[in-house]
Amino acid sequence: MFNTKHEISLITAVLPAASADSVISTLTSREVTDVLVSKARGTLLHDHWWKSWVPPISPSKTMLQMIVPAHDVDRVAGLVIEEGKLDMQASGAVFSTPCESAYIGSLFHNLRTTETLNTKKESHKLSENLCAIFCSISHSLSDRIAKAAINAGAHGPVVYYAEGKGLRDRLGWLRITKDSEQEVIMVLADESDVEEIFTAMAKAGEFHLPARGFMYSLPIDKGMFNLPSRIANPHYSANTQQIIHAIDHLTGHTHWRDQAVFNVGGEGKGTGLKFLNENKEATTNQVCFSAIVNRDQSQKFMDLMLESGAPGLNVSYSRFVAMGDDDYELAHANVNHEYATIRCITNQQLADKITDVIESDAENNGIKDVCVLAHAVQRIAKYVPGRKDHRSKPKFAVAS
Amino acid sequence: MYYPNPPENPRFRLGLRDTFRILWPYGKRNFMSQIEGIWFIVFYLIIFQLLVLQLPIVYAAMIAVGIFIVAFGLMFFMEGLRLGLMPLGEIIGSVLPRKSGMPLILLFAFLLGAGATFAEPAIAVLKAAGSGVKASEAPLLYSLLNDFSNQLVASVGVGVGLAVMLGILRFFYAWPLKFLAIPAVLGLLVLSFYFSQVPALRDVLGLAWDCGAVTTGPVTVPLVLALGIGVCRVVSSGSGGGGHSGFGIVTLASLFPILAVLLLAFFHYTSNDYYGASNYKGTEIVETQNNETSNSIKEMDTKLVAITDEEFSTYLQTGALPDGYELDFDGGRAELVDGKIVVTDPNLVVKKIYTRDFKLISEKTWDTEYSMVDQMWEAFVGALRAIIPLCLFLYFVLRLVLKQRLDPSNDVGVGVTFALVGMALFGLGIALGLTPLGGQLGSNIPLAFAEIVPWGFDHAEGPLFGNGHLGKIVAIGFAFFLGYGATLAEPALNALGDTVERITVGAFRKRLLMQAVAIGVGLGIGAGIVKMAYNLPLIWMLIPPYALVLLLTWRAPDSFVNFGWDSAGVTTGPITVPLVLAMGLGVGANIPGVSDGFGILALASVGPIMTVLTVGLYTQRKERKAEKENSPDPSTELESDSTELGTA
Repeated sequence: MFNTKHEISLITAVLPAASADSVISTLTSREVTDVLVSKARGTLLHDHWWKSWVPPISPSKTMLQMIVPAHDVDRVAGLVIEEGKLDMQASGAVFSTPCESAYIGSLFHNLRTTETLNTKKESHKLSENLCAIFCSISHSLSDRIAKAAINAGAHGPVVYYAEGKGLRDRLGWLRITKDSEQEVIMVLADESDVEEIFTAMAKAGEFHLPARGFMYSLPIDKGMFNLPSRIANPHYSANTQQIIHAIDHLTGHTHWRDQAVFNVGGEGKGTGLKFLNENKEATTNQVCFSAIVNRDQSQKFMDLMLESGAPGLNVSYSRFVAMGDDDYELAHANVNHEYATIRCITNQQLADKITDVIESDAENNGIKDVCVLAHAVQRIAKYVPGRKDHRSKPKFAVAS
Repeated sequence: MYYPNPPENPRFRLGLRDTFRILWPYGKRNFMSQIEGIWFIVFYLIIFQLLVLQLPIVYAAMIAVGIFIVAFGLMFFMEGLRLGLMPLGEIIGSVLPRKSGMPLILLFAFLLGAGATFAEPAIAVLKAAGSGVKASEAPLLYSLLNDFSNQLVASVGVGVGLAVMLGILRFFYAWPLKFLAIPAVLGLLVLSFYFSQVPALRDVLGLAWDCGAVTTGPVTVPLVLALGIGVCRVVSSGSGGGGHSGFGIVTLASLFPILAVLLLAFFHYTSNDYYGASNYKGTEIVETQNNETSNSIKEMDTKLVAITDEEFSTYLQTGALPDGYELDFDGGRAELVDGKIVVTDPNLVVKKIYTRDFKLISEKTWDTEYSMVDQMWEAFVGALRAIIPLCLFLYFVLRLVLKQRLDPSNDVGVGVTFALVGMALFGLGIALGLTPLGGQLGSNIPLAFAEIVPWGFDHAEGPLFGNGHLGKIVAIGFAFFLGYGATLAEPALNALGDTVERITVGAFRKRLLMQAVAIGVGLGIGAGIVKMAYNLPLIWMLIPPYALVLLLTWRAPDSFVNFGWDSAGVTTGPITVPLVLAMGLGVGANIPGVSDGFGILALASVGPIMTVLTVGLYTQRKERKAEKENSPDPSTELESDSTELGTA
C-alpha cells in the first residue's frame, strides 16, 4: 500500500508572490513535480527610527514545497532558481531537507525522475553548509523574535501561519478561549552562524517559560538564499549585502565569512578564522515528523496523532497543484485540493509509533493520498517542565 | 527525555476554579481590545461637548451604561465572527467549487447577496436621513422613500445579489478588480451627471449614492469576505494574479445598489407616477406649515429668563439688580446739554439674560421615555433577523445541497450564539449610549456657527465662533475627528482588518489599514459637512474625488485596490451612521435650503479608498526604489561558490 522510499528530499522554495506563478506553472506544465503552495511573508526592518510608528508592509511571499528523489534535487532546485531568478538580490530562497524516512501513499504524488529536465546553465551552485531554523510561536511574539534574528545576523525571517493543536483540543468547550493560530518563523543560516542566531531567537522568545512555543533546526543538504533584511537606507552608499557580495567576488571565496567569535575555554573569547565547521554530533534523538494529508481528513489524522501520544501539533494548509493539470474544470479555473501538513517534534520511538498508526489507519480505510516524512532535528528549544522555572511544578506538560 | 510522554492525552478535567482562571484572561483580553476601539470616539465626544461647546452631558448615566454594553456586545460579536460566521462562510466557499457546478454557485451567490440585504435593512437609515424631505420640494425622492420603499429595498437587494454573483465569478476568471470597478464607477458618474441636470431627478442622487454605502452591514461583510476567501483557497485560475485574495465582493456590493436605485428612480421618472406627477396613485397629504414660524419666536424668547417675584422684591429693597441683565430704553425727550445727550423720562425695561453655570453632567441622567424592556426586545429581534436566517440558509445549503457535515471541532454553533448575543447587546448599547451621546453632540454642533437651542435644553445659545467661516470650520474639524473615531470602533472594519492581516500572512497589518481607512472616512465626512454647510450640489462633491480615485485605482497595486475598495464598503456601519446622520441633519437644519442629510455617507466611502490607495502607491514606490538599490550590477555574476571553496 505505502511506498517506502528512501532517499527522498523535501525542497522548499520561498519566492516573491509575483514570480511564484511562473515558477509553479513551469514546474507543473513541464511535469517536473507536483507543488504544495502556501502563503508566507518576509520581514523587513526599517532603518529610520520614525518609521517604527508606521507598521511595516512586509513583502508577501509564496512558499512552494516539493517532494523529490534526492538525486533530482539539483535539477529541480536549478529550475526554480532559473525561473524565479533567485540569483538576483533579495529575491528568495530554495533549499532541500533530506528525509530520514518517507512513506508516500500511492495516490499522493508522482515521484518522477526528471531525466528530460535540462537547465540552461549549470552555474547555479548550491551551498551545502546551511541550516534551517523553525520557530513556532504566537502572533504577539513574532516581531520580537524576528528582530532578534536579524540583529544576530540572519536575513529577514520568512513567516507563515500554522494552527497549533494539542493543549487546546484537550480543554473541552473551553477551547474557544484559545486562539489556535500561530506564526512559524523560518530562518536560513550558514552552519557557522546558526548557533548564534538560534540562541538569540530562543532568548528573545523566552522559550524556557511555559506556553511560549518551541523552536528547532533542521539540516539542509543543499540550498541558497537571497533574502533581504532591511529596507535599504538611501544614506548608505551600499548596503551590507552588496558589500559582502563584493568581497566574495573579490576574494573568490567565502572563507573570510567564517571569521567568527569562538570560545577559547574558560571565560575567554577570541576572534579568528575557523576553517572547518565543527561537525556537531546530533545532540538529540528527536525527529521532526510531518504528515501531509488531505485537508478533509486532517482532523481525523490529528486526533489519531494526539491519541497515540504526540505532544502537540502544528498544522499548516496549502494548495496542491498537480502537474500537467492544465484543463480548466470550472469556468476558467482549476479547483485544487488542499492539503494539511501536520508537524510535530517527538523522539524517534514515538515517531515510529505514530507512523505505524497512521499507516495502518490509512491502509484500513483505503486512504491513498497520505505522505509521512521524518527529518532529523539538530537543536531544540522549548519549555521543559521543572527546569529553569522556580515556581511550583505545573500539573501537566505544556507543549505548544 | 524531553516529554514525559503519557500513554495517551486525556481530556483535562477542570474544576470551577481552573475554568474561571482560563475564562477570565480570555474575557478580559477581548473586552479590553473593544475598549481600545471605542475609547477614542467616546472621550472625544465628551470632551468636545464639555470644553468646546461648554454644555453638560445630558443623560450621563444612561450613556455610561450604554457604552459599557456596547463594549460588551462588541466583544461577543467579534468572537462570534471568529468562531461562527467566518468559518461557516469559509467552509461553504471552499466546498462549493468542488461539489457543484457553475449555475448552482451563481444562484447561491445571488440568493446570499439578496438575502443579506433583507436581513440588514438599510431602509430605516435612509428614511432617517430623509426625514426632513418635503413632498413638494423633492417629490421623486419623497415617493421613493415612502410610496415605493418596498421597491427601493427590492432593487437594492437585486443589486447586491448581482454584485455577489459577479464577485464570485471574478475569482474564477481572475479578473482584476480595477477592470470591473473603473468602468462601473465611470458609468455611475456619467449617469449621475445626467441626473444632476434634470431637476426632478437631482434629489435622488444623494439617496442612491448613500444606498451603496449603507447596504453592507456588520453581518454581511464578514460572511461575504469569508465566502470569497474560501472560494479563493481552492480555486486557482490559469492567468494567475488578479483576484486571488477573496476580496472585491464588498466593493461590487456597494457599487451595484447605486446603479439599481438610479435605474429605479429613472423608471418612476419616465412612468410619471411619483408624488405630484400625473400618474400618482398615492394619497396626497396636506403639509402643515405651523412649526416653521413658531420655532423662531420661541428662539427669540428663549434668550431671556423671567425675573421672579423674589428678585423683584430684593430689587425694591436693596436696589440690586439680578446678575446678567440687559437694560433697554425707549421714549423720552432727548436734549443736547453741554455737548451731552440727556434723555428725560424714558421707559426703562430691565430684562434678565439667560446664563448657565458650567456643569459636567446635566440633572437629567436618564431618559425616562426609554423603556429598557422595549429597547432590549427591539435589539434582540434586530439581531435575530440579521443573523439567524442567513446562518440557517448557509447551514442548509451546506447540509442538504453540498451534503457536507460540520466538523465537531468547529465551534460554529457557539460562534453563532455569541454573534447573536453580541449583536443584541450591541444594538441595545447603541440605543442607550451612543445614539444619545452622538445625537446631542451632532445636533449641538451647529452652535459653533448658529444660534440654536441645544439638545435637551430649553434656552437658545448664540454662535460660539461667530456665524461666518470660523464657526463652520470648527464644525468641519469636529466632523473629521468624529468620522475618524467612529470608524475605528466599527465592527465590520475590524473584521476586515483581521481578515486582511490573516490573508496576507501578517504582511499588511490591521493597524495600518484601520488608520488609513479612519483618516479617509474623517476626510470624507468633513467634506460632507462642507457640502451641507455651504449647500454645494452633491454632483460636484462626487465627481472630483471619484475622478481622483479612478486615477489612483488605475495606478495602484492590485492588492491595495482590493483592500481599499472593500474597506470603503464597510466603513458606514452601526456606529458611524447614527453619529453622522445626527450631525448632518443638525447642520442641515441650520442652513437655509438644505432639507436632507443625504450625501455625507457617500462621501464617507470615497475617502478611505483614496487614503488606502495612496498608502499602496507610496509603498509600491518604496519597494521599487529598494529593489533598484538592491539589484546587483549585471556585470558581476553572483554565485554562491561555497561548494567549491568553502569546505576546502
